[in-house]
Parts: sequence; C-alpha cells; structure tokens
Amino acid sequence: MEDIEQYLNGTMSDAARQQFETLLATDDRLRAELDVYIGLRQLRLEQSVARAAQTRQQEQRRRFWRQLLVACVIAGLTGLAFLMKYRLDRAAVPRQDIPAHSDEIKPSNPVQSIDNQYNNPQKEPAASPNKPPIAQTHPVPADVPKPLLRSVYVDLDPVTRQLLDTLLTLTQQQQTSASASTDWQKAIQNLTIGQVATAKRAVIELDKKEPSEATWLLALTLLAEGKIEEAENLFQKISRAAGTPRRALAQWALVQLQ
Amino acid sequence: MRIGSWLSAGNLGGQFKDYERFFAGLKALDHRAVLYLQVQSLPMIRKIVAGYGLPTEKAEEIVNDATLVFLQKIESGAYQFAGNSPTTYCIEIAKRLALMATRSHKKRTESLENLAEISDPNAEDLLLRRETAETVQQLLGQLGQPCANVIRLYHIDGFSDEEVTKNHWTPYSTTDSLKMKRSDCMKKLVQLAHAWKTSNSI
Repeated sequence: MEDIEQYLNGTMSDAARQQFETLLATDDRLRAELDVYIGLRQLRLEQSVARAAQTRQQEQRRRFWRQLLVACVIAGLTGLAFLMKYRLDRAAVPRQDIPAHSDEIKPSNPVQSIDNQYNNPQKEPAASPNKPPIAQTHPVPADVPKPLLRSVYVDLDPVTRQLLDTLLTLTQQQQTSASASTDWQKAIQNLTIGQVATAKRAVIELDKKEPSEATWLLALTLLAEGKIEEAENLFQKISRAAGTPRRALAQWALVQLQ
Repeated sequence: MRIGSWLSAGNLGGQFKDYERFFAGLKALDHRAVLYLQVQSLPMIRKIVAGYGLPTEKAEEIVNDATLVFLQKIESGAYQFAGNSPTTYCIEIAKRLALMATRSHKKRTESLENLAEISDPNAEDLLLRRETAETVQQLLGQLGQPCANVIRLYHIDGFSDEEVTKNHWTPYSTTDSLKMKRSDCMKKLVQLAHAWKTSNSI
C-alpha cells in the first residue's frame, strides 16, 4: 500500500518507479489495487470539487437575491423620494406662484376697467393720460378674499390657475343680473371647488336664460379645463360684443393670457 | 466562519493572497482553497467559453473539470509550486478543456471527415479516472454498508481515524480496531476489483 501511495504521489525514485511498473505489468492483483486507490482518490477529488461548486452556486444565488433586494430598496426609496418631491411641489405651488390676491389685481385692475366701460362705453380703458392712478380712484378693498383655488386645479399651470382664480373672484365681485340665478351660483360654486363637469351643466342651463353671462362662465370653465385656446376665443368674442357686462374683464383676461 | 462572509470582497483577496499558502490549501484539499480557486478562475473561464462560442452553462462544467484535473496534478506531483499563481495554471487547463469541448460540439454539426483527430492528455486522463471512480463506487456498493462506510470515511471524506472514533461514526471505538477493519475491507474491495477486471477481461 505504501508503494502505491508513493507511486500515486509521485514521490517514488526513478529506479523504484521502473521496478513498480514492471511489477504492475505482470501482477493483475497489484494493478487492481492501484485502480482501487486511483478510483478512491478520484472520488475524493470529485466530492471536494462538487462541494466547492455547490457552495459557489449557493453564494451566487444568495448574491443575486441580495442584489435584487438592494435594487428593489433603491427603486422603492427613489420612488418614495419622487413622490415626496411631487407632493411638496404640489403643496408649494399655491404659496410660491400665486401672490396674495390684493397684489395680483393691483397692476391692471379690471374692476376699474369695467367701471370705465360702464361710465364711458366708447372710450378705451387706459386712454386718458390725465386720469389719476388706479390705486387712488379704485383702491383695492381691504377685505379682498384670499385666492379661492389653493388646492384645486393642481394640474393647471400656475399662471392659468392664478388667472382663473382672479377671474372667478372678480366675477363674484362684479355681479350682474344673472348672478341671482341658481344656475349662475351653482356654476360659480362648482368652478370654485373644481367640479368642472357640474359647472358646465349649470352653464348650459344658464344659457337658456342669460346667454351672455353663460358665455362668460363657459370661457372660465374652458380655462379650468386647460383649454386655453378655446377660452381665449370666447374671451375675444365677449370683448368684441358691445354692451356685454364682462367685456372689460374679457379684454383684461386676453392681455393676461398673452 | 460563514461562507457568505468569507466570499465577500474583503476576504477574497486576503485569505489566499499568498500563493504558497493557497497552493498548500489546494494540496490539502481545503474546501476554502478549492472554492477560492473556482471563484477566482470562473470569470476568465466564462470569457473563454464565450470566446469559443460554447453555451454559457458549459463554463460551470469546464471550471469543475479544470479544478479536478488541477487538483489531480497537484496530488500526483505533476504540478509543483514555483511561485506562480495556481489560478493561472487552472485557467490554462480550462482553456484546453474548452477547446476540446468546442471540437466535440462542432463534431455534432459538421462532417467527421472535416475534423482532424484531436486529443488532450488532460481530458483523456480525466475520462479514465472518472470511469475508474465509477467502477469503485459500484464495487463499494457491492461491498456492503459497514465496509463501504469505513473506507468512504477515510479515503473519500478525508476524516482521520481519531475523528471517526471520537464521533462514533462506525461501531469501532478504537483507532486500531478501525484500521484493522479498514485493512480487511480494502482487501475485500481489491478482490472485488480484481474479480471484476478478470470477468471483464481488462
């Protein structure tokens, strides 16, 4: 057995090796014994390699799942971060983009323009250079309501939303004969809370009695829907119609839209 | 130590950074050394396999075969440590095995006349050893459980007689009685092998 071990380990001297191989050629039993040892050694090596391969594959699988888990966590956190940013942006838009109501109507006060129109229907609103500043003739009332649309129409761009907010406020301030009607009130109320479809139905009802005011409210509804071009067309139509109570407001809206 | 933590990037280089220590581990069939050899050589072997146009899953087979051939060469003294990385040698073996696999792969699709006769001593030797191992496995089965177990624990699993007796893995409580039993069993196994060779005219 020692000879076989030495022979297989390659530690036999050349002379002993030659002698052993000569013996192997003639002795079947020795050859069989050598084969048994070769087989056992091979089985040991195969077992060792198989064990290493199994451990390696287990580790590969473990690593795959670990990486997948890390990727999922990163994706989840990224998604959460985007969601939070989106929510923060949504919350920040009204504060940052819509100025206080009193500020926004100061530069070109459409109420004043409307008054001008009623008082001097043939004149253009800003025609007279001798006219005193708007702030003196028509000071902004102290109790101007806060913007109505803080948490509605979040999908609209900030400028359109601000314009809509101002127009709705001014529409309520500048009441007309139609303002007493239930449909008018319903339309305004629904526009304020973002129920555009309901508002539109009320506007359709109002159209039967007060087509002029209904056109105005329809323009606001279209603005609320983000259909800027269609709203603009209606504003133009109203601004061209003489004697319409919302004519100046429509002109102002057109200027703001441009 | 958990294998997972051992395989982590920090440990991979540290354990067997010293080639001599790595070689000693391979010679002793240290599980961690064999694992390290496979982990180190697998990426390159994958590239070789891909370069030869073999299926990706062939890389696993080739890395195992190359490890087997390499360990056998270390055991038989055919590979002597000379300061070089053992992994590099294993990859060289894998290259030849991959080339052989490419040719046998082509044989299936091309006419046999178009291919020159090929041979690789490593692959042929591995094949012969595998056949011998299979035969010994069968003969161990014929030998019966007590004998097969005594032989397997020492020659295949690599446990020392002290470990076997201490853990009571066999009915033999002393190392001497275990050695005697194993010697008897080996004689029986050799007899079976001789009879098998005679009956098969090998």
